[in-house]
Amino acid sequence: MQITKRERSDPKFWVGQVLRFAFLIIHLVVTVFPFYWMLNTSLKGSQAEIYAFPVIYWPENPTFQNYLNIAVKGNFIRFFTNSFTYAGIASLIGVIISVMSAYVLSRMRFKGRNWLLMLFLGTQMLPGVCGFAIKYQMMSKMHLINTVPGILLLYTSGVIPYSVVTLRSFFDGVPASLEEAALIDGCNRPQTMIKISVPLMLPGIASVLIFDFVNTWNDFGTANLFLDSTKKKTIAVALYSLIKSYDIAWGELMAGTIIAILPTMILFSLLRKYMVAGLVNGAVKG
Amino acid sequence: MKKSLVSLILVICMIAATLAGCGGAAPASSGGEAAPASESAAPSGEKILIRMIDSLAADNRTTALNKIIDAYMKENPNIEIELISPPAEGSDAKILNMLNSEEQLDIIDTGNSFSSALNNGWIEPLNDYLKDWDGMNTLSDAAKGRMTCLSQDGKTQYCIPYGIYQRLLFYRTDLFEKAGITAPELWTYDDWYEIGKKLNDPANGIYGIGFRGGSRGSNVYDNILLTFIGDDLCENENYRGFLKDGTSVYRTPEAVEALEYYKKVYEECSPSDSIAWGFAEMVQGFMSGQCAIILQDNDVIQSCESGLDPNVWAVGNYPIGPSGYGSQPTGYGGWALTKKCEHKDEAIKFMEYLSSAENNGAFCEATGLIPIHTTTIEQNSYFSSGHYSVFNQMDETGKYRVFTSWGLGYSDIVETEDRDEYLQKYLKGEVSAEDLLDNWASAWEAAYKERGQLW
Amino acid sequence: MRRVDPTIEDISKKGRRRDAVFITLMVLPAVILVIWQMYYPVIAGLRLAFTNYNIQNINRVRYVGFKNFIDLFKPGPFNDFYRTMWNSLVFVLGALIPQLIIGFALALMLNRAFRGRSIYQGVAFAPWAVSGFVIGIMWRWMFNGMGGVINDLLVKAGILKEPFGWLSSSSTALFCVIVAMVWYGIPFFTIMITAALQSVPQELYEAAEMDGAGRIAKFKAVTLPHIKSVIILTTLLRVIWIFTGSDTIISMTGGGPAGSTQILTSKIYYQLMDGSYGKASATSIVCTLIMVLYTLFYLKITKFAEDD
Repeated sequence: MQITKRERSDPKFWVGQVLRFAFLIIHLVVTVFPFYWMLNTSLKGSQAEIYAFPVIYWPENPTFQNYLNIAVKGNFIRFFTNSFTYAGIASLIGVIISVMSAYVLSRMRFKGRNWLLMLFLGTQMLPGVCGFAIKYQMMSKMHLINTVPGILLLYTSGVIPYSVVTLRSFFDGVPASLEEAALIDGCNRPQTMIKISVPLMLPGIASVLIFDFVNTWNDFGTANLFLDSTKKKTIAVALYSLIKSYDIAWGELMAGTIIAILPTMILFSLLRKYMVAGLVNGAVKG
Repeated sequence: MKKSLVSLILVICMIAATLAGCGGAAPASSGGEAAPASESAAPSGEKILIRMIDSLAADNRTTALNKIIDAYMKENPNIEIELISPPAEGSDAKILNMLNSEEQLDIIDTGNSFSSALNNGWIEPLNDYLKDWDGMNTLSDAAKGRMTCLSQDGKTQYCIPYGIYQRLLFYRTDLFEKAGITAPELWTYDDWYEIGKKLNDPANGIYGIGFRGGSRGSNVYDNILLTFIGDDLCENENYRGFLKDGTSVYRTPEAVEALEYYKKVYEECSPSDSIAWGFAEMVQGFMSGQCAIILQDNDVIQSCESGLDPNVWAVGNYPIGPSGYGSQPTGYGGWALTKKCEHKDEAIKFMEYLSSAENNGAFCEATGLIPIHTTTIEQNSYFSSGHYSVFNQMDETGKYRVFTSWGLGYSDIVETEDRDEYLQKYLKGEVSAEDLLDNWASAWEAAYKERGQLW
Repeated sequence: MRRVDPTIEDISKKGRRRDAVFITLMVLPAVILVIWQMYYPVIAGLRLAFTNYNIQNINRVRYVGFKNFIDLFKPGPFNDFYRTMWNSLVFVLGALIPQLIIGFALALMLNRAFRGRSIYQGVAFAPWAVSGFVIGIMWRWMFNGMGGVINDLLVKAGILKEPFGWLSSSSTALFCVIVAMVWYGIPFFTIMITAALQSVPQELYEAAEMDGAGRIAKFKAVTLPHIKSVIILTTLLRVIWIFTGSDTIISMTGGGPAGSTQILTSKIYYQLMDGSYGKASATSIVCTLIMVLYTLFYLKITKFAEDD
């Protein structure tokens, strides 16, 4: 959407523009502030500086001590790799499984279709915590506690419902006419799905994939309960460990948090570029 | 279309590549690590795996424990000890879940889950195993008492303590000097309130008392209440919730007085924020110099030593109440052996090693707990002098009654989860003292009626 | 004629059978995983709601009928259930409406190109990358009553005279948690709605322009219908997530002070931590019923799941 000539000469348009940018700037400040505060806290070396009031808006001698502390003591690199592996594999498998279901739910008419949709939607309402004890016993009987396959199973099934439901509505947004044409031309269902709908859906798939990744990456409860070994710990659990019973190590906690949110931020910036490319528009036109 | 496809493929390749990088390692490492876990079931491996879990994991603890574990494994190459250190919050629920599902867990930290584990029959009595342990000879009375404190007959040993927590009073000498106040020799709850009130100066951001109204704030009230009650109190430390004749302590007029006193301290001496304070906030308030007095456990001594100028703080006894008695909720942490453990002898051997005077001393010095061996306390100047000497002073008064449990044998019937919240409501004036106490008293009376007198 | 008909039927039957196989194969993995991993444990756990199951003593577990439910609903000075319900409602609506409106507005503004837009998007999406637990910790740190940066800013701005205990006052604590939730949730709507907006075919706008439609008319005729499905769905999910996402509350206020930020799901968490599985299950059932009723009602009024 470029600014048209008509708009350029319209004063009302410019008032709108000013309001729009004012809104964007205020929003930006509010969004960024907590991150800035996190960074600020993480760079303070002493407790006195951290707790000082009036607060210190930038440490006099910024130090990376907190980062070093957690990198060495906490073995965050290991936890980081673990989180990346679990979240990456689980969300990838989860999305592939979900695309299959979502496609069927969106494109095909069959009995029980709404029930299936409700099955997936319904999981969001399940009081998941309540099943934890029984799930734990179930996994324990299968010897899946404290194992990588176990946690992957838990995470993969965890991302499916949201992915299916969201992907279905993305599929709904892609015109079915293209596919119908292909079907008439003699393509079979799997072919049309892979060759026509999925490429059109890629922005949606990517965003769901990244959402799943972030959600899994941020999970604390499941990893804490189902994994024991320090070697298998995830970064979220390690962060939680910094909240001790007698003291919250704010400096280290904030340093750890910044490290922990970096990959998700990077993924988000990928998603952004990708959406901005206007894939769907291009594809439909091309 | 081509352009977009290319960019998409790039993205996917990148993700796939990064994943493959880590993913490649994952199955291998999982295989490698899963093997020892199943070893106890399959006798093919020569190493015996012993899994122990810590309920209050923190850097200093984990480091100290790992040092001992490494030394032990070097001496005993056939033993593999795996230390599980979940985040402190929620660790008790995790321990109980593991025990309930019969996951391999050999040695557990008693933490807050211990009485539940005991009720459920998951804990092995230690008497037979510890008969010949020479460490017994030097155990302090407090430690010996903790070994049996949860047993109905008072004889069965259920754990080897690794450290004792006792409560004491911390105060800021700098704030006292500024206000021209000298600390009393022996603190009473009257002193606590009056000095707190004098020092309270919210306009300048100084508060007399770092109050505890949040998590486990009810425990502070309980201890105050116990010092308001005289000789009528039940003599069994496991049934302090009752008078000798079986009346609930909440039915007594002292309960109302103590409650009103508790509220007075909050309203007149403490920051309003402190209604939600737990352990961390109190220590934070004290360390930052905003709160002049706090009541805390001995491990805070360590935090203060490392974080404060020695000239600005001092310690005193846990206050004595109007009845002339003090209450000491002698807390402890210990290692217990599970019933399901398949290598009990090996596990016990390690527990004994862990609890030797030398190793326990090192552990306690790292964590600020009071050691379990009298020899350590005598020989290690860190524990015999300085701030820790306040505990000797308290012992010598002979006025402190140990408070272990409100009613051990009834604890599973009486709901306790909301007590802190109810107290907060009372502090906010949403419920009356009478309603609150009646609610608690009724619960204990009903339990007493159901099971009779258990002590 | 009779001979031809069966063959046609045959083909369509075969086609239908092939479709049925295709459908089954496609949905089976997801369905199996979801039922096995999510439904089964919860449903198996439901029977606990009718027992006094408490992990503090599992030897005394027995069926108690509807006692847990009766206790839940029985009014009394110490029954917090109704207040918790009210808190839940305030929390969900209070957090949802601002984030939906701001998120939507932001998505519309970001849909139009301007210099630095991609950087802006990257920043605006950032909060969603943080976990609910960290959000709570972060905002608790900023709302800290004895200092804390928010107090400092308000004092400097002359709005407050001295630091105020935002999280320790029953009247402001819930508001603070809502602020944190709104901050967290805006990106979710922005991302989803942006994605939806990108998928609106450009030629529909062009066609509308040819018909002489203004900006508002274009928005109504083209944009809204196209993204309606995404908005309905994201709102539905978000409401449920706010309701079930108690981790921010737990790490920020722990439900306090005096239960003023306790919502149903954080209550369940504390009941579980206490080992009261029976009570927690009963509360969960009530929670689930509320959410099911809400969803059915919501889908009904938005006609989401119906075939067109």
